[in-house]
Amino acid sequence: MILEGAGEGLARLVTGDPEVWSAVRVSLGVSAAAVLAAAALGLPLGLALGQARFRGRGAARAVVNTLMATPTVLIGLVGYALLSRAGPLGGLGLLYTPTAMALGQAALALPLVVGLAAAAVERADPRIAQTALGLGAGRARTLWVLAGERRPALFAALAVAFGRVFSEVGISFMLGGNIRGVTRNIPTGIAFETGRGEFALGVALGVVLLAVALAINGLSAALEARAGGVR
Amino acid sequence: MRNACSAMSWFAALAALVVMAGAGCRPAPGAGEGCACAGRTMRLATTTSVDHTGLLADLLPDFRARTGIEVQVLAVGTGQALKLAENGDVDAVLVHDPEAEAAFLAAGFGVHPQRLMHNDFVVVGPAADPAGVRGAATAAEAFGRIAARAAPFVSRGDRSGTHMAELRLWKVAGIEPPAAGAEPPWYVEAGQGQAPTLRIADEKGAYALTDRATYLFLQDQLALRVVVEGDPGLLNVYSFMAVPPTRFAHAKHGEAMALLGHLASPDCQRRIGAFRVKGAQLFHPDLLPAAGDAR
Amino acid sequence: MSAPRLELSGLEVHRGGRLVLRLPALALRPGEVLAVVGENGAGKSSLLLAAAGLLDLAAGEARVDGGPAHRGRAPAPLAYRRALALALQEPYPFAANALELAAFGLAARGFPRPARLARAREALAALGLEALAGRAAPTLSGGERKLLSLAQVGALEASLLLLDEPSAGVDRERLPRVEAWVREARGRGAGVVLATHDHELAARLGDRVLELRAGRPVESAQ
Repeated sequence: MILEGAGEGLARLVTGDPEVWSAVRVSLGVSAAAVLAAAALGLPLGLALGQARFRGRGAARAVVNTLMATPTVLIGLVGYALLSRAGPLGGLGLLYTPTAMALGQAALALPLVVGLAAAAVERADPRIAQTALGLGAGRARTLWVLAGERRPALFAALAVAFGRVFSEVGISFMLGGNIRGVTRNIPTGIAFETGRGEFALGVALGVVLLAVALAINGLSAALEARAGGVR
Repeated sequence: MRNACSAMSWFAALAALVVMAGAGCRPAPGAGEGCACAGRTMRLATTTSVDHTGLLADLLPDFRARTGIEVQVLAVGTGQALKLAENGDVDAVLVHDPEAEAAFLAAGFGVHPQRLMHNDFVVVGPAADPAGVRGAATAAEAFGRIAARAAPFVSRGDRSGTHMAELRLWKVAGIEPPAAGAEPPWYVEAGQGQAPTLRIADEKGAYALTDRATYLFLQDQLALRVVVEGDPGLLNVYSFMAVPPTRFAHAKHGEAMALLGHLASPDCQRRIGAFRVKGAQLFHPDLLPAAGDAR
Repeated sequence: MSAPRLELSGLEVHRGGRLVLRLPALALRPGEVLAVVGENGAGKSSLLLAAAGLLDLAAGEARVDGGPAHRGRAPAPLAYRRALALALQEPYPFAANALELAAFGLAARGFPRPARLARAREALAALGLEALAGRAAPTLSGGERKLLSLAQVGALEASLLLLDEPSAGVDRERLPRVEAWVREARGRGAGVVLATHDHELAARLGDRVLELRAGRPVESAQ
């Protein structure tokens, strides 16, 4: 079943099966948007947290680490409670749209990005910050320099976050609704086909997901190598 | 900037992400439903048993072509479908749990109830039929025989329409299905959709209640056989209900009524009756003047 | 009489839970070079890092040019750090070219690009590094990287220079250049604190010599 499914999956991908490609598009668009949002907010936060020194810092780090383990279904439920018409943000009409999925996935990715970025800074050579600060750089510039020197670790953090959201189901289902052509992404598609009893097709989609993830990570590694350059 | 390379590679990474994010928003050509960016849309919550058969995928494109209304289908359990309607997150529901529907209407959460079609449940079990269920006059009697023998039985256990129907049958048979964890554990709750539940029953050589459509779909892969069918108690009726515009101003009532009109139309009803999966008829229309039974 | 370039009072520094430095008083006049000597682990680097405002002060305070004090938690306020420039004992190999690195402090202070690159070029030339302007730091030898870190400091023309082992790893031929560079800074009125294990260098360059042992000052000569 697994081999049959793998073959079927790759075949459908290559022949441009519209249902599969629609799911791929939704998956990529939603997860990319989510990681983008999480990075925009989480990288500066994580860098600052890693570098900062204040009394509650240990507690803050512990909270971030704990949030990394939040179950997706919980985020989905909270998101539903907020975005439902019966909820406080219902007027926005965001439920069951790709936007809602992206928001939920961003919430999932954020603690990961913050925690991993902070760790990247904490493990950084202390000389980096010392050089910058010792030549009169402000906090923000010092963080920028740290980010530049810790680029590989930060890219890795984004890759981890992407992997996490790309394959999650709980949020996609609760906030997206698995609507064909609109909010059905690969993971919910797999759940759907499996629920129907089409196990082979489920495996096929799973292979598709891995293939796409491989492509993304390959691209990321190439970017990494180019940027890493002279070391 | 201290390091131009640093800035550039960040830009490249961000650009790649932005491109991907943008790609997700373009409508999917030829995928049937596409990205509902313009035009009229409405949301219908229905059960997985309907959605999984592909019936709606068969009926809705015609509706869209005639009216320009795109129906976004959310396939969830009956319980969740009604909850969504209660919260105003969908505009209409198509479910198959008469008791829940009655309560729903009584509470004022739904209007314009309309029975559209039916199919039936069947009791399936191992070909050897250890509980001697074959030949029982009614499903409730069959359940009685299963309980008497403590033969393994796998329940949906998920408050779906099928699960509620199963519980009704136990009630008629006067039997309290043992709670989870009781010894011996002949009654098992799968807590999942119909297909996985059947697979579990198949693995364990157990009995189960299922809608005929899912069983037909998986027939080749299962060793289970139909042991009881045709009992009126096994009738599974699908009804449409709309969300009241008086409750939610944003509810797409006009569109919901148009959909109801379409589904109740003779053309569509005939189409429902003609819908086949693996050569078998899955649904029987209820609104045709002479509702023929072509089983 | 202008304020001392550097004033340390009642300084106590802990690192890794240990007391690494206890300095009751230190004042550095404009145009004065203080050489700090001592064995490895005596506290020379800690003194420089503390004076740079990069170490927490368990007690006491530091002031540069009579400006805002550095007390307690590091890093010291920006105004404090902008008056000084620090060169580390072992410079970090940043992935940027020498010219950009020399210009870093100026970029941090908001100098426009053409101006800061011009000054960076001068700073590199002052140490004989002009040929290496386009080279990336990791490709330089240890001695060249050390000179580059001095150029980073030199470009700023700060009133207080903190130099940790400025001669370490530098070729014998280039050493006079470094010494001339230090004298030139002194000549324009800057205060210089340099840590070194080279006692002869300390004697040649230092107007004063401070010897540290186990983090405490020892009665010094000169």
